[in-house]
Amino acid sequence: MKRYDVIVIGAGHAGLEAALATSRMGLSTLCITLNLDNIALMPCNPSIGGTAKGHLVREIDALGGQMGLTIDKTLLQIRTLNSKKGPAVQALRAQADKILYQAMMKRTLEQEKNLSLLQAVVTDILVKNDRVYGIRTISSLEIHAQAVIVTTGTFLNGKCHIGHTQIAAGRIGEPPATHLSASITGYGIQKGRLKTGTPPRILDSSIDYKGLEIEAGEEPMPHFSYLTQKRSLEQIPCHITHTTENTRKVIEDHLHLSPLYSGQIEGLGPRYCPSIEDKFVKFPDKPSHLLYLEPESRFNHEVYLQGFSSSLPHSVQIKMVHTLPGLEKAKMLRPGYAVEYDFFNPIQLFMSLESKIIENLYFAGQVNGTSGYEEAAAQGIIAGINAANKIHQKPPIGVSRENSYIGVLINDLVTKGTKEPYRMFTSLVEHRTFIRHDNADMRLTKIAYEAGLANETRLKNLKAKRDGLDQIQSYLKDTQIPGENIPHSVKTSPYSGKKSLYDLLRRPELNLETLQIMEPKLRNFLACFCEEIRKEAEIEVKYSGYIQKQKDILKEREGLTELRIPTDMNYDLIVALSKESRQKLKEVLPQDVAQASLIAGVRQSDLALLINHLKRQQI
Amino acid sequence: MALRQDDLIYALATGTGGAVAIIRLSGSSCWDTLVPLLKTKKMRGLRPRPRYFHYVGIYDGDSLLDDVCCVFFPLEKSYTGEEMAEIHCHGSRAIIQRICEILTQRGARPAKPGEFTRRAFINGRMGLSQAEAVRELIESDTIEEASVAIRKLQGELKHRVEELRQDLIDCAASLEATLDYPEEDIEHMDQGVLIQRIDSLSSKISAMRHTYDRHKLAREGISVAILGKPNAGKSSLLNSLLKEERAIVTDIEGTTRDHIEESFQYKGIKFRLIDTAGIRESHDVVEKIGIERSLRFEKEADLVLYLYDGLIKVDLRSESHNAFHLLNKSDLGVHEDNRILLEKAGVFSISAMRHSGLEKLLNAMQSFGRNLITQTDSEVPVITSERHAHCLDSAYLCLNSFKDSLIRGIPMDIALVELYEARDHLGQITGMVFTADIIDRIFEKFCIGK
Repeated sequence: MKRYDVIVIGAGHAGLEAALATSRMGLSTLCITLNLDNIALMPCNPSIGGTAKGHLVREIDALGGQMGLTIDKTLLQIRTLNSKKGPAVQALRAQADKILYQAMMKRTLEQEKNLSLLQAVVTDILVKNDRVYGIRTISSLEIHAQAVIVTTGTFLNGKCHIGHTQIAAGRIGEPPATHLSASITGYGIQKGRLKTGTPPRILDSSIDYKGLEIEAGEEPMPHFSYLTQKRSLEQIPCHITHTTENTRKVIEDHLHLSPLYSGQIEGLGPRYCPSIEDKFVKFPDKPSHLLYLEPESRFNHEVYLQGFSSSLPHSVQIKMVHTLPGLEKAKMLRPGYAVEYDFFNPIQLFMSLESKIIENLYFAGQVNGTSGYEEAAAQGIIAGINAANKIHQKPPIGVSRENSYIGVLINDLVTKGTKEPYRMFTSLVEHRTFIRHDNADMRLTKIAYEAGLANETRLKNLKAKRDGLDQIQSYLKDTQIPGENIPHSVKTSPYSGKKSLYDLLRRPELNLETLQIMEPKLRNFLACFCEEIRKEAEIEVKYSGYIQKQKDILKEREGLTELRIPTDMNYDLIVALSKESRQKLKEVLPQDVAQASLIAGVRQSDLALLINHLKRQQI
Repeated sequence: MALRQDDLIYALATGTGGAVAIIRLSGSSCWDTLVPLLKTKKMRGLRPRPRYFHYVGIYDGDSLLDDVCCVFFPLEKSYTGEEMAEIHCHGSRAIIQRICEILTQRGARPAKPGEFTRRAFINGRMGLSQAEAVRELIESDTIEEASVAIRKLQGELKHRVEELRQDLIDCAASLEATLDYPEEDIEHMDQGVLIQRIDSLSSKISAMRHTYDRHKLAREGISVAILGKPNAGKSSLLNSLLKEERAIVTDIEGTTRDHIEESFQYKGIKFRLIDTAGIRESHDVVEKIGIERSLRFEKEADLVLYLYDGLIKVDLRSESHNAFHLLNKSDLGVHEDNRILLEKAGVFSISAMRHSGLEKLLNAMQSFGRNLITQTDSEVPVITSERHAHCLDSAYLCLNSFKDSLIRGIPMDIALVELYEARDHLGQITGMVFTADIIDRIFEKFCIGK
């Protein structure tokens, strides 16, 4: 029987990034899925990106991942969100052609030379001396490997709810994985229960779009991947509708039929993505809720009704949909439903996503309690890189809270755990003024290159970009503009003497466009650089004061990051630790004091004790 | 200083000179170290009961050193969170010294300043601002100071600052919501409303900050400068108010060449009394410098006492509200033209030599002082530590630059850096933000014994 270096269980967004990472890093990899036709499926929103999630996609790409490249090739439309707000919260969001996305992803996996695919049901992981050595399938086939990555999504003991109807399924129409969860918990890994939901799908031709607000794609098209070249495409618009008083009435009349309120669903759902019935219950004063009509593919006519996720009975959902403007005669192709599933407590993972309990066993994606394709993919690539690094006897890759959204995501998971499906937000990222979606490559590509995942082209592009930014900065610093040269058309406070373009750009009312009016030569100079570099140079100069301030704050914390805690740390040696802190520290096993300081319930006095203990050990 | 040690320390918790002195011990093996030194009245070894007052003898080898009372605290119920004990011995210097020597022989060492409270903090027995309050309680001289410290010890400050911090977080959260949910129809906070909220937070912070100035005045004393012409009797007045012969008094003009400063308390208010050189035209270099200083005190003191020779017709030197005018030498009489002045507020007839009229003056000074230091709003917790005042200043500045950034049109995600900085400055008061150096800074300041 063949032996692999790595086995990945699951071929969703986490699994495929993990499998691509290990195989591209030279390891023979087997990716096992319940159904080869459902690789990279988007079972919910047919879109990729959004605030914070868009940041993740850029970072996955900067690390040498696949998600950005594939969505760039398969999108229906793309836009920059928050374009009128600041640079730190801007991000891309694309509507995906979900059918094309899946097809291209599947082909990418099939073509990867170290990667094998297999359709099978995994029932057990094989462990000896607290170390994983393979898996067993439902047909008793044993396959051995040095490392196993579990990316099972919502399939572990998955249960779908439509009204009072319950169906055992990972997604509607797909049988759940019922044995694997027990096999894993059998080794002492704790599981919990979460819930998520999806809205109904509507037949495109049954929607009356007249009078509905249109949301078109952005031109020229931005792109997620740092490798994607300029391209053009006929973009497909989305539409916006909203709930009405009648929607409220239908929902209120049938609320008793919702499994959410009858106690039938035990798992906790995401607060940030409530079902439509939840929205009406929790915000009774809000007269109406926005809903987006999103096409799912060029190859079908299904429309996703974003914001209308529901687990009310099928018949009620039909009534509800008919209360929406433009959907009075809509044909519902699939009802919305809620799904409950097992997840494993991520506190039992290291930052590398390796289990603290079973060596060489990694977990990534929804099984760790997150939601979203992007969050899943981000963990997938990290689990892949770190599993490969472990096999190559190298330390885990240096993604951290201080350099990436991915770092914050994983740090939060392994430090705080989660009670609801975890979603990425920009506000979770303390250092977001310099952790932006435009500079993901500058933050991560070098370390991914060193790990052997990001290729030469990426490194070359990065160097060119850095050079370009430096050139623009020096030009701006070296060019002085006399105050009397400011044309009347430029509104800014007058000054006497000279100021550099650099200093002028830092004024909130000025930008690179207006500077070109003051200094026409700048136009020719900037023409040598692409839009992306110009924009980034502008951000770096414009907000340099704030960015520096945040970097200074970060520096203050560096002392805590540098105080590493050995993995075999014996907390019982610190006698005076409070009971609660001791327990939390033993559970989380933080890698440094900075991480320890983020654990809820660990007192500052206990941190002081810990620091003192570590310092004494160092001497 | 290393952050944590649990070796056995001791310190005298009371001053010397009283009838009874208390020596406290804390650290691992505290009980084991002390118990062998003690015997009951029946000459038996002691089996200590937690938190029980044992009347025993303390022995220096075989000979009885003193009759003492001892209390033992188990670590889960002690001040420091370690094993502790107290020895209540007689207040003789010799006995105290000998007990300390014996303890040292048995492996204990004298505590460093603040070490007991430092241990209490590190062992999780109290929060940061509570720990600071302990120091202030010990150092407080007046009842007012003590009551402030006790309130803080109970965590009021922490509670109020935490409220402010939560307000700030709340404000940030509603701003973040619109950033993280661009596609939802979340109501945007209007800039005017936001600035109003920030202003209200700023003014709360600054009100809290101002309590520190008043508190500092109360703690350090209200400065009172005595000004007047040579030989008006300034030094006599100082001596009478202090009730001691502090300043040299002669009939020679210009005897006081440099100022003298002394503190005294009257009815709970602390004053710093400054005797200045008499003001006149002088060619003496030393005297001239003294006179320049006098004029500076006239400007800077919280209260100025102008002293005049009441036998001579007086022109009041100042109309300022923080000036009292004293017509001296009332025992010898008063110039006719001065009688009308005595009807004015702030003008007093005294005799520094004969101590007459001083009580009226002192009462006036006392109520003047009370007004200066009384906190205007009893709802605002009093800031008593320089570190806290500094944190509030920084938070205030950050909020100001946040507001400034908003007005200048800096995007919200960037501007929020300042709001979060303000939040963290407040967090440093309550200990919600952890930096190791804060702890060291605070604990350097503790007085021995606590």
